Amino acid sequence: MAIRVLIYEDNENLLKSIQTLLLFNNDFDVIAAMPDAVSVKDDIGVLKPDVVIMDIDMPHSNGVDAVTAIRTINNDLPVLMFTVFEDNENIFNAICAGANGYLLKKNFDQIPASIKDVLDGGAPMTSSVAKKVLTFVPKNKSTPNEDVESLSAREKEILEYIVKGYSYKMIAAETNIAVETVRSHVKKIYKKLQVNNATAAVYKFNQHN
Amino acid sequence: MISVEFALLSYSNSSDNTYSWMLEGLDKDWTISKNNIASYTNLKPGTYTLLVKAANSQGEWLTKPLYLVIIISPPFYKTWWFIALFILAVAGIAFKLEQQHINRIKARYNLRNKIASDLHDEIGSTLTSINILSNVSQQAMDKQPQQAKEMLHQISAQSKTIQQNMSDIVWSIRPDNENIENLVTRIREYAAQTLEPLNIATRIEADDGLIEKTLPIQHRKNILLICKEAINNIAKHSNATTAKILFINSKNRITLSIEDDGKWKGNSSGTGTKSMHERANALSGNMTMNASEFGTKILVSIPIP
Repeated sequence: MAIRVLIYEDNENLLKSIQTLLLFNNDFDVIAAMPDAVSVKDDIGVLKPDVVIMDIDMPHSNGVDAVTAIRTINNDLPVLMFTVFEDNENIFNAICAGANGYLLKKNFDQIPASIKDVLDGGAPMTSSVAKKVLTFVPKNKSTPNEDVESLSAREKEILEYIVKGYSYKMIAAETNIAVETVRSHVKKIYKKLQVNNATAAVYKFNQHN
Repeated sequence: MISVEFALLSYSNSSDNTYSWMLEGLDKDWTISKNNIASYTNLKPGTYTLLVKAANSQGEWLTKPLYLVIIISPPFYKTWWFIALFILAVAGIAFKLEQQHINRIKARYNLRNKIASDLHDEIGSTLTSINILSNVSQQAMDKQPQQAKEMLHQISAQSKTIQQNMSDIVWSIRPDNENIENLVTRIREYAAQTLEPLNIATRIEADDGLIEKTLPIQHRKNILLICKEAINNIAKHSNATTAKILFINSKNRITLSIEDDGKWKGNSSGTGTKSMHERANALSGNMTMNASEFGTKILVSIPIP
């Protein structure tokens, strides 16, 4: 059965092109293509996509907020951010908000592969985003907030390799572990970011009330 | 302020002693007083003579006035040599600042020119070409579908090139990519993307002393493009199983060593290799290429500014 894809992208040319690209691939069925994510909760309720491709910078609605909105009603729907290379801050925020991965606009031709990768549980991570993760996650357990999950030594080591531009394969060779193990570590890093983000949100909520 | 106290040695009714004084060089007239202190404030630098006369209570004046030469020397900041030096220093600093200002303007001007010409050459001309190709392919679509297909193929390849060039230009301009570490990171990511699908094991290493050093925009861009070209050559022509790129720190120079263990099937005088030479020359560096049965080794040596 074809994978049902829902796309949010405000650049009309790009939206049309992704649609065309996926239409020619029998594995995918583009069920809708939207110029903004204002009605994202209703959309996924009605359209029931298998995966969402979400631009980050859109008028009227921000892709990161849209991910947060999706996560209030659906925790499992894979959401892939679609963004420009330089947008580390937003990519990082989107992962914290619960995105399952990201695609860079310059790697347009890899969209089909990347969608499948994320559906299979792959977690992409590039150098600049890894840098952001390292500065954000607490270094050890001695932080005052006990609920914040810190990175294990191995996870930190892997992030440091990614920061230097190493691919998962290169890291596997460097650390003598399987590529799959590297991937699962990165997946755990994603999880921790999301847990920490949720904790931070609850914390903020309590502060305000 | 200067005060001079004097006394007439006449002790009969000494309070009736009369004094008279004049400071030559300042006073126009004598001052007559029962007071025996002459005070002057704010004397300008110069030479003065204080003349003092006195009379006893009977009104008998001394025949000859006493005199005291007073020299007020100027404070150091009023000396001619200090003033001259000061003016020179101020002028020197102003000149230096102005020169730095001009240099900054020049540097900014050159940078803008360079970015403009990069955008024009690498993006503008290819976009024009794509525009032409897409127009012609539309016309050819019905009558010469084979040619149209070929043109579409070119459009695809050229737009991919633009995308990469654009990404490289943006990367080189961004100020947070100044150090060599970021350059190595970018090359490593590109090598992984390009060579891993071909099962070429890739290692990219940089000497520790090099990582923290920074490079100007043109150096970053040209070194990046030399490496990308070399990586593309390895992908296209080498049939290698391993590739290694090393950034070696030598005195005020950076040496790039790009090595693979494949058999070179390309043309070492092709446009790709030529552009690598040109980029090395543009940075006042040089490049040597050694291709054999057992692999290809490229050495690029570039002075670090």
